[in-house]
Amino acid sequence: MRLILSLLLLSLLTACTTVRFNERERLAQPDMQFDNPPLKAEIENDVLSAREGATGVFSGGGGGGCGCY
Amino acid sequence: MLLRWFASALLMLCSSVALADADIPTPDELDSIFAFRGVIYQQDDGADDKGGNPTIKEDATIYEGIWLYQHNINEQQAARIKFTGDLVTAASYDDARDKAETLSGATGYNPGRFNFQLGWKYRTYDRFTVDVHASYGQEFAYRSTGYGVGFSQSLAEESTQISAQFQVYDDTVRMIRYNGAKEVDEPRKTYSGTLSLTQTLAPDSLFNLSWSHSEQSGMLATSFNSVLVNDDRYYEVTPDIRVRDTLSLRYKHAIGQNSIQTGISYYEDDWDIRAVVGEIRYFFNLDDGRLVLEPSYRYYHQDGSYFFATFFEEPERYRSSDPDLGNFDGHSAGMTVSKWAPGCFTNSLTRYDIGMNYYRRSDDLDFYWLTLGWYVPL
Repeated sequence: MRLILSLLLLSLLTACTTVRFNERERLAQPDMQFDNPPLKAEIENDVLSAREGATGVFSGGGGGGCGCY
Repeated sequence: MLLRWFASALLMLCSSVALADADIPTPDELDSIFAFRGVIYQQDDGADDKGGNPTIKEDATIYEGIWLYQHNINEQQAARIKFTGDLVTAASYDDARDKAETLSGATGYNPGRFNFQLGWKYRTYDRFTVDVHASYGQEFAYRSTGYGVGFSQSLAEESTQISAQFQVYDDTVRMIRYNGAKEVDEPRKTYSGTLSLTQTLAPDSLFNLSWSHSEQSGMLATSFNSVLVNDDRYYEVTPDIRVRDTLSLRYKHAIGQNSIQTGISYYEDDWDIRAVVGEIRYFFNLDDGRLVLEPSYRYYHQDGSYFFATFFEEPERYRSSDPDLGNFDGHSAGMTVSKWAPGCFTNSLTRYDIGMNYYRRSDDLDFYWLTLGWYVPL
């Protein structure tokens, strides 16, 4: 937990970075988007959250909506 | 004959719109799209049911399909419709259903599972987006009504995205027990929220940080689960409140034409479950990104709930023998192959993918799943 909080603080320190539109060509490609294409992460979260006690990992929801825990 | 004609017509249609040298489309959240994803899931309880809890049969096979259609209304709005359908064969589930039908005459809500969702997005010209959705679903011993709203704001020439999502589920548990007994239906409510920050660090790297918090109340146990107390079976009983928190950090970095994604996550709840997750994915972009190989590895460690045990010596107030609430480590490895190719019904390239994942659990309750994906920018 302490490690994650440290990473969180470090991450926030970088939040003022701006990458201009003309520098975003690589970032616009599909493999540089989180949870792309639609439904891919969703179905993985469905499988994993049904078998693990944790929810909300990376992009999953906070539980509820299904007969699992 | 009719089938052959249909296949020929489809082939002609596909070839007539084929644009082999078209660019891979850059995704936007308001695009018109059609997407389908199917999964075949197989869980193996091992010989003599020794995987997970050795006193419970835990073999399972699930076929799930999700269909999504999003329609771009104008440059500021999009509406979507999503349907999820499952066919489930699970030992505990089938046993409860068969006994319920023969012993108490009770029937479930639905033999498999379905969920239906409608959603709408609106984005202002200064990149503020509102997303609302409502859903309804049913499965054998469960009924769910959900409402969600999300807000996101893009800042600093799209270098920073902040978002907040809130979700409410007003669910009903059909109280069909492992022995076929039927009790009065019970409610389950879930309130959850997720805050997220995605930040570009450089022209080739970015990260995503998210915090998810949820509070659940009502009937939180699985109605047809049981525990063994000495030689007698009792119902599973869990606390009727659960508070859950998850903190996740993911990082992406381009390495030439390829890229790597790593992530760590920490989860805890007031049932004393603690989990740590680590994940790594690599994206090999071949043929100018039209063919993508994505190997992945995920590590999961879970410290189980304070009321979990394989056997009980007396009927404790709270008790569960469901191995998903117990102590275990998980290692999963997978490979997804994606191909962008000329598609039907559109001038854009269409993405097809197939993936295979294997999950090795330290309690021997291993499982694997196969996915098939189809994504069509319209």
